[in-house]
Amino acid sequence: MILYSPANSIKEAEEVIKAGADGIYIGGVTTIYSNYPYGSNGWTVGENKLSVREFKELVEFCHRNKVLVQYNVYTDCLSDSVSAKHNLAEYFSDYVKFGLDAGVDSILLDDISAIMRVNKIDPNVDIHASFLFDIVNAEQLKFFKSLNVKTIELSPQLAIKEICELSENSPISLGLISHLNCAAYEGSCYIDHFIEDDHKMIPIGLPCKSNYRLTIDDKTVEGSFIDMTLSCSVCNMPALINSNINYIKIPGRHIDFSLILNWTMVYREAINLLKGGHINTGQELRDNIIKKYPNWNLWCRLNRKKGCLYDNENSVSKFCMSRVI
Amino acid sequence: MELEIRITHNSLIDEAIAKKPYAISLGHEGCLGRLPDLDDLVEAGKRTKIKLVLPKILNHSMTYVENYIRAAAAKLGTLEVTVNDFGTMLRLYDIKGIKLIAGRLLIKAFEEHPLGHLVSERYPEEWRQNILQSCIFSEDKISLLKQYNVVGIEMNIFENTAKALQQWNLNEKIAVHGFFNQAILAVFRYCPHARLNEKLPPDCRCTCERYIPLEYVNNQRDSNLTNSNSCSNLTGILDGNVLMREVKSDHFVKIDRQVALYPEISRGERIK
Repeated sequence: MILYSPANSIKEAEEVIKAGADGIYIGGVTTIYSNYPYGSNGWTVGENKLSVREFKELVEFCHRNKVLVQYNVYTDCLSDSVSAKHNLAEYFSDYVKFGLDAGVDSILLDDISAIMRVNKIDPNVDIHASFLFDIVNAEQLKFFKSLNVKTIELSPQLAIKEICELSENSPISLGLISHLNCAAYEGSCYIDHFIEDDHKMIPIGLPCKSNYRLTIDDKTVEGSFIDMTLSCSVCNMPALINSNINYIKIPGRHIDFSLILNWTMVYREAINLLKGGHINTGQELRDNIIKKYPNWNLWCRLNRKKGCLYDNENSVSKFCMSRVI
Repeated sequence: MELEIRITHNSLIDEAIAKKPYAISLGHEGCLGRLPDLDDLVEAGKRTKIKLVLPKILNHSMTYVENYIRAAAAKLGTLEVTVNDFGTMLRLYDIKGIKLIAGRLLIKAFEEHPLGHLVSERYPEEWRQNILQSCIFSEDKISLLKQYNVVGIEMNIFENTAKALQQWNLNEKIAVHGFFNQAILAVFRYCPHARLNEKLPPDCRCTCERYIPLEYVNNQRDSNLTNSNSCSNLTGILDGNVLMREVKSDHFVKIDRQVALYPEISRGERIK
């Protein structure tokens, strides 16, 4: 199982590799895509300040360390333009070629016309289909295989049972976001992580965890009604290792880098413990992880084990923290 | 232009048919539990044209959905089915009598994003339409959908998509079923309605018979970020596990069909 972590510079790449990443993922150097939202919630890849030379050096550095580079080309809503002069699709092709020239190992895409374009550029490219496709059934695996996709990231909305079921007979290699996930299906979510203030976008953290007010008849209820950002996969790692999951990914190019390092170390530790053969269950793994990283207990205290909502019907009402006002 | 009425609850079938639309659509973009019973569907299908709307189909529901659609198509002869994931499209495309429509969860546009205009303003004026318009304006994508017998698409007709529709004459390539009054903000795997009522499928079927306005209050980490006009992009209306926002689009262009919600979301009233 490959562990991918985000890295936006050679220095960050050095640190995540030291923390145990087998692969990094990164966006490219561009003026057009620097403002383009890479997910539906408005974040951009614009934090990456690498020069073209530095990007190539980063790829070479990773390869010298036998670390894979996944190139993120999130276009979200790629369409052709009637104007040849301002054709985003042409810039998309240039952006893809830039990454290929630098020697990236795979390209992560989130739109079917983007996949078809990359196939035209080079049919041998290792195309990965992003979790933004919301892949939740086996037919989707077949569909994306027919588009020459080599690896698919499953939807983080799936429960562990569903992941194992899909991976059992999968015709294609699978990946998974290991840590954190959104409340809604990511590929079709337009809930902002920002508010508009004085014509600027102000980040507000995670809107899924925020409090909302519902009014039903004469009753008003406040609470975190859409919060189900189940976060931690540690207890599920034995099942994931035994399934056909090819890689897991630490999310968050925009997240505090110290957290990325911490999460990378924990999941590396989990993979190593399971590969060592001395650990068999999620409980044993969790105990070992918490012994070495006591702060990890936070996820357990918050009951944020991934998939628990779907696996345990009794947790349904407990998880909805609401109060009548 | 044809008129299609999308009803939010199957008890509204009679009311909807009385309005004499070209078609009524049943089902839901977020929840399979909103499909009508097969007998009710067939009964309605004898009186008017029916479109069935499917959500993303989880793996364990796929066989049920296929059997349901096969049985419905066999009894009704023809049936339009809106699919919202490519796997369901692949599973259903060769069923006799089926006309597939690609749903709005597959046909996205960045202008549906409440703050999409702010992102687009980082670009020169001449780039903005291309960034904001619907992703369907791609010859590759249209030809791929047609390979799978997709004869139409559902899309929101907002400003930039309306401009592109005129420039492309899209409805000459594929039928366009347009929405003018609301956009989907999000689809939750786990239904806020069901959580609120502490029920699970199938017992929750009656809990989402109404729209519920969802209003942003504050961020749990920072109480200074509280609700104000500037947070309006975070408010919406819950229709089951789908969060919608109301949009007033007056960009009427030539399309094949207008889809109207019934009742309108602005009414937000109880449905019997």
